[in-house]
Amino acid sequence: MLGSRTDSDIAPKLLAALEASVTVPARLRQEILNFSTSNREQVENLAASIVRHISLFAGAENILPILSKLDQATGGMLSLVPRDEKLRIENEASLVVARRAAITLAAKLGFGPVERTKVATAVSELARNIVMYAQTGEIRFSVSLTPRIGLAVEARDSGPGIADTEKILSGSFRSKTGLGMGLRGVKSISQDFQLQSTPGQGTRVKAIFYSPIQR
Amino acid sequence: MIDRIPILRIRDLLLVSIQADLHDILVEQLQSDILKELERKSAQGLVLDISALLVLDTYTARAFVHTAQMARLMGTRTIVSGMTPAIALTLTEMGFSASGFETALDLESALSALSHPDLTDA
Repeated sequence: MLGSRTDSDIAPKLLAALEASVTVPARLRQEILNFSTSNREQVENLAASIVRHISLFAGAENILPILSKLDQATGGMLSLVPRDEKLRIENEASLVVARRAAITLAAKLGFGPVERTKVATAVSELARNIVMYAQTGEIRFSVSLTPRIGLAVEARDSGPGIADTEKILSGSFRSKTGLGMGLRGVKSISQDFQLQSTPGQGTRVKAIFYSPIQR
Repeated sequence: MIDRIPILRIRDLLLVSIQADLHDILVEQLQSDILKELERKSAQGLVLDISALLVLDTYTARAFVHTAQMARLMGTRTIVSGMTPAIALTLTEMGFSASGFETALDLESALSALSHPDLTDA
């Protein structure tokens, strides 16, 4: 594939489509003209910059309509519109995939590097608990743009469950494998946290992260 | 996905640069490779450079603590270098204590700390 050729095609289209909706400052213009579609980190950073800019200058309610226009103009090459996702967790490899998906989705919501790392770390902890204790399960990502920009991470499994969730979360029980530390950690880095578990039936954990630009 | 992280030996130091997306089997493999290498030939120091990592969860961080403890028992000092501010902040907020391993801002500081132990007293 001719990566550079595609890039030079995409940047002007993206810029024109964005300028049709909102004033684009010089710095963002440069970022658009200089990014490479083959550099995942650059694409993620650009997606985050665009969302932050739209949110600040056109309002959160305009994020989705403008991103849709940008995707249309670029033939969906960047897939800027953040979408809900459901990932099956069953082994080590799916854990790595889930972490990557979390970083990309957080970037598409305008989250900065620290917030992206927090979301991905939470996903890593929750997915690992699934692999270790329930063998299989799923991670769901749900995005919201209004009234607040947020990313909900939900882990579900039909594993053995946790007998005393209070004990686990208070830290009075410490497992050899670190289940408690992971869950307590996810609780402390997220803005909203729910843990439901029934022994013999499974566990459901939901952690929500809100964008710092409007927290 | 790669299945092994290379361990480089420079004089009496072991250097591991973690570039891959870390998964648990890779971490376990690395741990046993380091121990085998230390058994083969002793090393004064071990540097784990994690500057390319985007995510370090508590499980992997604990694995690094264990590696450092095992290396210590074999007479080797371990320094984890290049932790990004995002990872440092996340681990701290999660309540993970960094006292289990020594850290350095970057690879260069780690190497100078290991070759000039007197510089690290301050």
